[in-house]
Amino acid sequence: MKQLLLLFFLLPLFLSAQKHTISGYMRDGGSGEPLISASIFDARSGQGAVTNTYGFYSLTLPADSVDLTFSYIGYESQGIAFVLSGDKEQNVQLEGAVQLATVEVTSSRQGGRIEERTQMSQMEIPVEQIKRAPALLGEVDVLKTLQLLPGVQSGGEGQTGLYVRGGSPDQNLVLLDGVPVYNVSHVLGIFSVFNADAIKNVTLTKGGFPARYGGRLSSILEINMKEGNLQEFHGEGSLGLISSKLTLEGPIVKDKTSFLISGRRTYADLIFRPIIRQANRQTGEDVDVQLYFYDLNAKLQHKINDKHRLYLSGYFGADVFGTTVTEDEDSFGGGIDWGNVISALRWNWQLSNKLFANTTLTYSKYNIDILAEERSVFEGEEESFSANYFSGIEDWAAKIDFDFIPSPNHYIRFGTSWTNHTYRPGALSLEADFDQERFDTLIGSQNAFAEEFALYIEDDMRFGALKINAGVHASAFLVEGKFYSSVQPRLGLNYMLGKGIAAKASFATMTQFINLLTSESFSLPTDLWVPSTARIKPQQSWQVAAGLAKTLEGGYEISVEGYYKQMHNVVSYKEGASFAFGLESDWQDKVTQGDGEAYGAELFLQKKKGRLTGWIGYTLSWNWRQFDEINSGRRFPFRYDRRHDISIVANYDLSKKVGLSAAWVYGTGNAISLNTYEYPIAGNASWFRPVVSSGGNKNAYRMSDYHRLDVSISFNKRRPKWERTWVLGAYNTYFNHNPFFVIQDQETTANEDGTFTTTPVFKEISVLPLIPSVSYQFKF
Amino acid sequence: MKHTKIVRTFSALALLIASLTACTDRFEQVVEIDLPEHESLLAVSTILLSNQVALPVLVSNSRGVLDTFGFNSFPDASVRLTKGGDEVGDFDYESPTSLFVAVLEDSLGNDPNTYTLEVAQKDYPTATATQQMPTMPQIGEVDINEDGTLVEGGGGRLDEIIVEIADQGGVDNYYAFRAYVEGVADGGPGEEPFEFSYPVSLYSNNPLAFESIFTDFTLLLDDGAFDGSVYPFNMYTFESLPFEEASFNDLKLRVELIALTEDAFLYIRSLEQYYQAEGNPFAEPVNVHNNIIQGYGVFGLGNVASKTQPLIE
Repeated sequence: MKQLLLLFFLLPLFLSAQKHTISGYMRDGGSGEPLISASIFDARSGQGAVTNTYGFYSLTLPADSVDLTFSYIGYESQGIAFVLSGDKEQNVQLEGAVQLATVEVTSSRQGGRIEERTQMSQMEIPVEQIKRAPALLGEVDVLKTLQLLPGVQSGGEGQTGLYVRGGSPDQNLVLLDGVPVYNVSHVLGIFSVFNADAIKNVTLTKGGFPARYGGRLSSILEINMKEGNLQEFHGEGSLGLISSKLTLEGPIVKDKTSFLISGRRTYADLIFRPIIRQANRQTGEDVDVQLYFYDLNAKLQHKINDKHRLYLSGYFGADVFGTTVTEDEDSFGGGIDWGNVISALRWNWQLSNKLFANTTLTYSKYNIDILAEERSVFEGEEESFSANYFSGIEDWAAKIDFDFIPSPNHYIRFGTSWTNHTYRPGALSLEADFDQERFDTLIGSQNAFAEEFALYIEDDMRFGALKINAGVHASAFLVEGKFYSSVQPRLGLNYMLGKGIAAKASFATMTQFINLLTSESFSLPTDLWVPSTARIKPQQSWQVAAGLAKTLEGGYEISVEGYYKQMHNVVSYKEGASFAFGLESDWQDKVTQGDGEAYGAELFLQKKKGRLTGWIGYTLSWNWRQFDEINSGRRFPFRYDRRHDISIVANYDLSKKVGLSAAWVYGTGNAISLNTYEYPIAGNASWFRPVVSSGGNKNAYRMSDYHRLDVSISFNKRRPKWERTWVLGAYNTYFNHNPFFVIQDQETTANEDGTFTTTPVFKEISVLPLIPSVSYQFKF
Repeated sequence: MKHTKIVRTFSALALLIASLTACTDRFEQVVEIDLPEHESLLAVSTILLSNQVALPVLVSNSRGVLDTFGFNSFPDASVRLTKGGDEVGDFDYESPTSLFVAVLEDSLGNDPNTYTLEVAQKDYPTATATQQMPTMPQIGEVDINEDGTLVEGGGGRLDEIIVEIADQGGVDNYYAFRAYVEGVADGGPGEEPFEFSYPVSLYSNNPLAFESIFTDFTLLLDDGAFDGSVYPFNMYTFESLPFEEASFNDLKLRVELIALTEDAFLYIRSLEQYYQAEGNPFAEPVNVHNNIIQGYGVFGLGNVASKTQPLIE
């Protein structure tokens, strides 16, 4: 086995005899930010390479004259020609193009044309597009822009949850600078925790997973923060209806050390607090309201030398909702707080001109607290009662990743990681101090501890018209003395059929050792992250995908993909169970495991250049679940089974100063369970006559189809030192009553004879009407 | 510059008008969801036990959730219960309760016979269900501990009852527990002593078991985790058992272990889940188990074994 591995690594070296390596970094000339997936192409040999996440590239060519072109979307290309007589280091800084920026959602980070990339089912959204898309209340949102892509569905109205190719939100691994983020939303799922001003790039992989990815069944969402400007001090920010934000970045030591700090806070509480106080003044009550969320992103970058760089990044964000009412000496109140703390220390090390290492130490914590308390004074004695529900998850992790580029025909990645998890699956702390009684007790599930390990190797290979990405990801999980292990083979193929059409196929198996206990109906911060245990087996999946891709004339790009995915040991609450009741019992008693099946086809047509840019995405999909203990064991459609899902996104530049954006979405209505009949189960003599309602299959009915048009218009003014943009927007422009949930109700109508008739009806309740927004953005 | 200003003013105005218009609209709309038309069928409900003498059966009807007619009682319906083909008892309609009741001379019996319940009413298809009386369960040792191992919130220890279930291997068994305190009370001056019996609420922290609040089968579990073995099952009661009651004589605890049919077990479990989920917007929806052919409801059987243990030695 060892000899085979040695041969695997050394073979490309033998094949590359009489060749030399050009390596270096490609960066933005203005800020020093690394350019990801930028391309390097040698016109003489026809060979090329792309930069990795840290802007590093390596291209090994025959000893001869070379004619290199360094290019990146939105930047002026740079050409360099020389005679390659030995290994050469060539760092390149590209300048931003002067013309109107093109907004391109690339289907892979591997750069170049879509048909040239081995990777399929991967989308990269530039932050410019995210910022340009019309947004609810003008609050730019990364996750909501991702929902506009084929294969990605939103959950409920206005929610940030991502349902990727039939998966559920817990099956998405969301990484901020390589650190898992467990709760990605603010305000009960309406806004995501990612502040677009602090973000450099966003990449979503929904299938054909290369071996370096693991840990979740359905998608990997990588969000990288900006590194910080090494050259100049800059800032940007915005003032909006519900929040404001400010980002500052610049050099601490020019070309050596930089910082970035970005903050965002909502201010509904600042507006409403004085109003509420005034309203309660007559009753003698002092009402203190806390109603806000905040995010703080920070990053330090230090260039030790050309070979070594250090990065320290952090994210701190929380939602705070609470009320305290005080009257004389008595007070009562309560609230709910939840938030993430995330930190990463990263070390980039260029070991040689062909080998690059990235070592990361990370910390991630998600906590939720729900507090209710009362204090009063009775006959001079202070009495108190408090109830505090809390749950969360905490991770410490270390990982090392290597990029090894022995020749233009091989790009080898390998690495390993270790994570220590602490799960707090929900507990209730009760404290009381009364005259007659005192108690202090804790009810709920025990903390759980687990160790997770992963190891991977993959090679991106090229054999003429055939490109192959082959690899294997191995993972293991140790929890409560139970050891789980899994070996997950991965394969991606790309074959050029001719006429610029590429046929692609992929196969990937995935294993997931973590579960989110969530209601199908709502996504709440109280959703519990829990591990696989001796009783709850790890979730597993396999997915095959195949498709065609081609770049068309006029800046158009088209891709069609079909996929089939099976999921095993997916977790769901049992019928009737929920987090809110039965805290005295173990969470494992409330859940059941079953299977899932998803299949469908996706079409993505994109226009990348010109005054009009945008895309049309269409998804045709089926999505099933089967649990022995749910729906009498019968298979049923997943709540977010959506037969048709369409997104049309268009950006049009009326002039250099005025831009229009619009997004129209359409989706088949969500599946719902409705009781269709009812019957009594006891006789009349009971003190009440119990009646049960029942129905057919679970999720057998549909809410009305969902559709919505969002628009925005931006007015931009540029000056040499600063830039400002006014954005006017409207969410749900034609106020379609998109259903959030369905209730059974009574409708009363007046008859001609003066009597009334009451009829049972179903009503769809919508929550978001037409919502206008205005925001002011600035840069300096 | 002028062009930009016009566009800006127009955009702001359009947004304002559209928003004001939207504010007057309602956030709900009545929708027609294409529900299949519900065919009203007989609703039949009963779980009969081997030691029962009076056998009540509910007979009513179902209706669609959008129907406006009420639930009926059917005095003219006929209820027929057969045991291995032979009719058991005569069912008569009792108006106050709307139940059909048959009173037997002897209890239903422990033999593992096949029982068929047939309910006919002229306006409805005949509803039927068949069940086989489960084999009589075997109770092993019963151990009652005053102040057992479990501590309640206030710090006191709960009385503990440990019952051994001698499970029959190779078949799926479904169990329910009930317990009663029995004794003889002094009748007071000049009065005769009399026997009394009252049920005891049971609780278990065994994850295999669930409590039933809406039926009188207090604790239920299946034998999936202990098939074919002797399983000691721990139960607790928050009611203090009368270990030292001077005014009562012959105090004892009678523990019943009931082997239920699978349909009875599934019905009780789903009914508990159904009522616990009712009114909880976060709970998953529940369909109550149904085993009536051409009807709704449940016909279940239970074979009762009991053991009595004195509380005062």
